[in-house]
Amino acid sequence: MDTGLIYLAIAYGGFFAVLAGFLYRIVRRDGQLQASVDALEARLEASARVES
Amino acid sequence: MISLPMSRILSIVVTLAMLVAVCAVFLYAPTERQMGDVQRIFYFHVSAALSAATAYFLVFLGSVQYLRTRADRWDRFAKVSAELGIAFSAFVLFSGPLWARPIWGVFWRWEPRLTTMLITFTIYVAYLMVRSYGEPGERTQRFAAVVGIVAFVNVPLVHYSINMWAADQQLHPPKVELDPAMLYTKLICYFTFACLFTLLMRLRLQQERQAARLEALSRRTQQ
Repeated sequence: MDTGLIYLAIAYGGFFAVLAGFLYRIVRRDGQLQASVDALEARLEASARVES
Repeated sequence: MISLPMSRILSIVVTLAMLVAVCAVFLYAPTERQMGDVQRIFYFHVSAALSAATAYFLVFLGSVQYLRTRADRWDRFAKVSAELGIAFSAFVLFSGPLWARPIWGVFWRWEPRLTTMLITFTIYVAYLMVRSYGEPGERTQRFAAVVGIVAFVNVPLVHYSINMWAADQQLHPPKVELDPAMLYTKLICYFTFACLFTLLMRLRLQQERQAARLEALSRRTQQ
């Protein structure tokens, strides 16, 4: 097989693999952040209700 | 949040544009006579380099605006831009040697463009390190903004390195004449990378805003 084609495949394969990983990381982190925000908001709401 | 309609629309546009770009690169663009198929790396390589330069300009812009206004949103903007600039530069530094090996016979040579690109990449990595290792707060943000402004000096150097150093030290050609089909493919890739860049920027900025909100909420619960 032509070495040029191998390098071409590595370059584009690497690009799409890293892009997929980057997007996966963003989506996962977004889910974690949202869950933490929801939990904290619920906690604040509950403590506000107890105080009132 | 990622479910915002604009980000969804952009995701669809990026997916479609990426499909068109890949088809253009592999099916529409003709094979270069001297270099062969490996020249097809050019389309994503140059588009990524342009995206990285744009990102570094946005770091500069965000840093100037932060020093002017001291608003956290500009600091976040600069930070996210630097991350994307590093990601796109990393691809440039990864794909360049793969293209160079069959053409120049070496993966790397310390010629002006490659060297200035590597220096720029390293400086922006240092910029993110300054942010990570510094104490969270205004002082680190101010220091990072100064680094973000000074680092931008390197970006025009990368572009003009071809004219600034002697021709016998260069491996990159000063000007490239492209076949119309190659030119259209390059423009499609520019558009695709611009959309991808905007999408990633939006997603990361939304995430940073969410992280800031979380920090504010944790402070409130601790009180």
